[in-house]
Amino acid sequence: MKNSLLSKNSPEKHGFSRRNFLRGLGTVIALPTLESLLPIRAVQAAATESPKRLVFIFMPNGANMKKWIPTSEGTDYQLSPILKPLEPFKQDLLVLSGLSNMAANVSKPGGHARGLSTFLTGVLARKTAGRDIRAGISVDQLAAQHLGDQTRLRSLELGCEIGRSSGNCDSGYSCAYSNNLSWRSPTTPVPSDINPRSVFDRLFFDRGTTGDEARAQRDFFQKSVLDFAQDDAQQLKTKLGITDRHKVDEYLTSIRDLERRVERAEQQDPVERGDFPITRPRGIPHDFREHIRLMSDLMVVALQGDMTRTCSLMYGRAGSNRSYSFIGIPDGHHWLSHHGGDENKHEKISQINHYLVEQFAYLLGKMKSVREGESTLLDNCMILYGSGISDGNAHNYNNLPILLAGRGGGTIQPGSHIHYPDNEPLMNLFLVMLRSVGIPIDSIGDSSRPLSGIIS
Amino acid sequence: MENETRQLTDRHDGTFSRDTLAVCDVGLRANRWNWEFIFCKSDLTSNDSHPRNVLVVNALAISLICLFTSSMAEPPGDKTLEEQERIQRKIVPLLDAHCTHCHGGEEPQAGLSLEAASQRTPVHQYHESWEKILRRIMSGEMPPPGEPPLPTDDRQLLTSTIFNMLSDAAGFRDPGRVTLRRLNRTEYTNTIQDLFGLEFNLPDDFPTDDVGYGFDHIGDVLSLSPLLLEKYLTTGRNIARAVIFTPESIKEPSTLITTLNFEGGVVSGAKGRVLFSEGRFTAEHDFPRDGIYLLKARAWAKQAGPELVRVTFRMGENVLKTVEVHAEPSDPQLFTVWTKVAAGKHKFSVSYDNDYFRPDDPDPLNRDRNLWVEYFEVVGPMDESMQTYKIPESHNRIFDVDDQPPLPSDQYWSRWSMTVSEETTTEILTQFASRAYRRPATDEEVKRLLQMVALVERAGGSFQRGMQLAIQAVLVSPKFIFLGEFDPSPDDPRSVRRVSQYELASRLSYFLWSSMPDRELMDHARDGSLQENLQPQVLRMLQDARSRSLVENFGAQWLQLRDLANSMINTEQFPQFNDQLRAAMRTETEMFFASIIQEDRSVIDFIDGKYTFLNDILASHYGIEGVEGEAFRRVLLDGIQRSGVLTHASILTLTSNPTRTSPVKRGKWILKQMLGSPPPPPPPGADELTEEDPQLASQTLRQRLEKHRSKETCAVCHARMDPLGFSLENYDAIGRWRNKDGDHPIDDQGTLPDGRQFNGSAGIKEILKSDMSQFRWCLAEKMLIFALGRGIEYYDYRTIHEITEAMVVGEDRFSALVMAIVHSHPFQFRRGDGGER
Repeated sequence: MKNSLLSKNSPEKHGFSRRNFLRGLGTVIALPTLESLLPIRAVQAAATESPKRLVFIFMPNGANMKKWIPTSEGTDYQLSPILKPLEPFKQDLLVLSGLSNMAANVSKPGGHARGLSTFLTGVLARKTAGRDIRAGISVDQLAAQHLGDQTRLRSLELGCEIGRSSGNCDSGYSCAYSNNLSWRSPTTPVPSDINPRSVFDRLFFDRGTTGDEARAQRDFFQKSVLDFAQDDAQQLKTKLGITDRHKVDEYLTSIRDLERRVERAEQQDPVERGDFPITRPRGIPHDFREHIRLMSDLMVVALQGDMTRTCSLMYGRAGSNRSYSFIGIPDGHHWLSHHGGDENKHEKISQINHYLVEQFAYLLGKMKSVREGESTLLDNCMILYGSGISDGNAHNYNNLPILLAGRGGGTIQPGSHIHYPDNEPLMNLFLVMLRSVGIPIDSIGDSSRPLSGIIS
Repeated sequence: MENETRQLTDRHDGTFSRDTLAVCDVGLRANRWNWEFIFCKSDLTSNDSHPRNVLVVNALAISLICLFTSSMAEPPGDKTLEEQERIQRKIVPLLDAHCTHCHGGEEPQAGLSLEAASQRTPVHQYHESWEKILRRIMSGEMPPPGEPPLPTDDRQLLTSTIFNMLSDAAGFRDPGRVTLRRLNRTEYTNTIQDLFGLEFNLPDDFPTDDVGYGFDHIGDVLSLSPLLLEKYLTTGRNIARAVIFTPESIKEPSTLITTLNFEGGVVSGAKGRVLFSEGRFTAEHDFPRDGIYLLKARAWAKQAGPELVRVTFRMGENVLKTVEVHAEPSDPQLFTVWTKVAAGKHKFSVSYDNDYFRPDDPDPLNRDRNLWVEYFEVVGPMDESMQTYKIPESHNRIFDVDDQPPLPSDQYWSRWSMTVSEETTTEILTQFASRAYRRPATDEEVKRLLQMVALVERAGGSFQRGMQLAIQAVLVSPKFIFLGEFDPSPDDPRSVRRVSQYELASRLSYFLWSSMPDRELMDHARDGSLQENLQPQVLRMLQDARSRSLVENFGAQWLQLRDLANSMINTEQFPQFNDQLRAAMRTETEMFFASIIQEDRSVIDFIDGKYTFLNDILASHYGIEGVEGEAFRRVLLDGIQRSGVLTHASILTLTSNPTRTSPVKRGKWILKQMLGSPPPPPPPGADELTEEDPQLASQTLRQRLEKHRSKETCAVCHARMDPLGFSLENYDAIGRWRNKDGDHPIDDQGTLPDGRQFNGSAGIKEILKSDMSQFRWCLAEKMLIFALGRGIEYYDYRTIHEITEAMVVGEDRFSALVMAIVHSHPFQFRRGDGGER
């Protein structure tokens, strides 16, 4: 039946056929001139003001700050060796030095877990290896609370490294703290999806596996299943004690989230059946670079199609010990980051930092190539890039490596390197970012005032 | 609060990187023995990375002072008086005889006055201080060297009195409470496999399960994100599709009847024909012979008004079924119906039954309701044997109903073709849901599942498609996802009960199989005979192939075998190391573990079992001759420098650095995994052992570490870790035997802090075996955590103690350990929730 179904929809019209797509032409990404492929959103975007979006990217293990921080300040600065790949985007970029996240600054072991769990939350995570995990709501999720209702996906959490699953993750801190960047509530981390294929399926809501059933009918069935599950959960709650009820509440919250998504999918169908701006990936690429780039592509597609306005991406989990042998560094990243002052290790860290910044530059390039009316996707985004710790050896939380790219739809004035006096809270930056997308918020964590010098 | 801190002026030996310390528990109970002295604390306000000065304070003293001053307000109730009486009668005389001459009087040693401490009740409020006293005594740390030792009888009396006091602190023996936990990745996979009897691979995008207390199935730690729920939903649908065969998937042989070949309504371009008001589309077909045919109509509707478009299938004037059309113009839908037809020409039709037309409706989209049919299709006659359609085995398993003879094979078609009677459907769903929920499904639950089937049928889908939806609903339901245990008074912490027989069946199966109970367990549960058959059932379960999951889940996490996959051995330095070898290493340890279960061997074999399992790759790695081929086989280790897991290449590799061995990591592994006594993490600002320092290059690793250890801050931990690790120096970073490290001959002698000396791995194993109590305690504690899916609480010490006693009686056989856990109080009982006490 698939054949007849396809012939009715004349795939030639779009140049992509669902059959091609179903055959899974591999992980190669084709990002053709996207306007033709994303009809609804792109056209709307041209007509009305483009939405502002927020992106948060985490790199593990801090940076070699000597080679990260540019030597001069102001608009006429020279990019540092590590940041060199960002040269084409210098006018779209803010290098923000000297920012601190002192909530994490407890001189105890577990620096990586604390660095990540505090990075977007500004809240010191409760030290526990077991029960009672508790951090704070992360900025991206805070944004999603306000912006999420307007899009099919409330938010999108992406990752490029599988979470650790054996042993405690960092000196008595639960693995939840070193695996997760986003926290929907202080007790519920949002795991990142590391499989490009499943991200794709979420973006296009399983259009790859429709079969004979009509979408309207399938959505109706799926909602019925969710209703069924919701009733079951309500029933269970009446029979459980307080701790267990919380577990079921978590389940219920997730159900509602999915229900919303199914409803959204009905109202807003950005892609005609069978036509995708991107080939459905096969799975997780073995090649790390391809993995990061695939995730970046998917992120661009999601933002461009206005499927979500908030996205987080982890290049690795906190304390990642990935080997970068493909650039001639076989040692584990985390192991190297404990350089103990060793110049050789410092140098290798710089190279890894540089490599990851290159991948960041790839994303910015993609975003800049997407036109939205008079501006570009990059212009309408604010993309935070950085790490929750500064030096990998000392695990310090001041003078963090932080970049902000994009113009936030004209609210941000990029193009300079600003060095803030020590202990300027990172949260001040987030305050600006959230307010720029129209979220009325007075403070986050230890924020003291909106970060100066970046608002246009 | 409990940290003793010291002058900290040294850089740390970074041979244990923070990453390995990730596995280091510093929780109070995990440090049961004697480590909490040595936490280091630095100036909170300073954030430079330099070493800094800190104070020296005694941990115990501070914590006791804090505890005892914070909550003295509670008036002594009856229970407190009773506890006081017990302490005065049983504990105080022993403390007076052995302890208070130091820990008493005006200036007690270390600021700890046991005279004051023993006054402190109720015990459950002061459990931390009692736990500390207990640990000091159990570890042998107190009385300290130089003082007369505690006579064995006195020690046992003292410790058991404190155990009992702690376990009964609530006024009854506290079984604790397992937080509602969902299935983790492994349990979900196994359960699906056992539920449907098929091979199932979990999609690799299922989110990782977070780990607590060393294991990845702890109810308090496992969370349930929207992402995971979405995976449950889609995976559930895919499973339901794979296990049940639907007529919708039958493709041939078929005849298509298109626009111009059927009648009714008007032609609507390429979209088929349309009915603007009530009427019929009628087709005629020459059915070649008597048989079962599937009729399909591809239709969609323009919806308006309060109802969906309703249509009726008829063969002649005989109504086959009435369905609702959800599909919209851009999105057509196939409707199917089965019918028995006699050979010859017959007319069949689809009628449009509920026209709606309100031309004055303000919403132009809501004025007119119409029905389109694009084409009809006739499939059949069907082959009535099942071979043609490759019906999955699982399909029959679901549709087979107990207490009814299986259908003759030539009637299998009825299971995937026709609608089954409501009575039979009820029976099928009752059986399925009861297995999935691991307890009898209620009538109400089954009724709701029947509604799911009806929902699909009403929308034009087949009965089998309806069953798929019902099965998907079960697989997404929290009743399947969570291991539910329901108390009569869920919020009363004093309400203690024995777990039900069904709950016990699940506890057993998820402990020993990481999967659902099988039929035999469920039958016993139903008959109420599981408790009385506990022993034979446990033995049966251990012998069953499914106990393999005890190796892969308990064993691999206890021994940290899962970390072998992440081991970053530098292949330039060790070109022999590849994924094949890595896999062989893991297999060796898994098969060894499995043999201890299967042959019910003594757990002492973990330390010193003189056999192992090798294939050619691993044997040549070990320098053992005569093992050929890639199949693993049992090899005796007489006269070979290996025995027990400590000298498995897997363990030796996962405790090494990329380029060399790490005696520190190996020592720590022994302390943590074998003795349950992990060292605390290194102090902040701790430094790496710099490899490239030219001054050090000429020295051996031991010399460098010894120099490092001479520093006071580091000495406390390293004096304990390093000698243990050095005993294994004859094995290189990938576990090969060696006599030299570079140019330096291996020195594998060591001295423990208490003065005991030993030689090499054989020596250290003798020391481990000479005092089995610590190993037993460690193993019992870890397995209890695994069996319950929760962390150890203060009231559990008595249980662990009882388990170790049972191990001694059972000659340390593996089944004795398992049996003791299964019979233990927290495994057999639970109580209501009382929030945090």
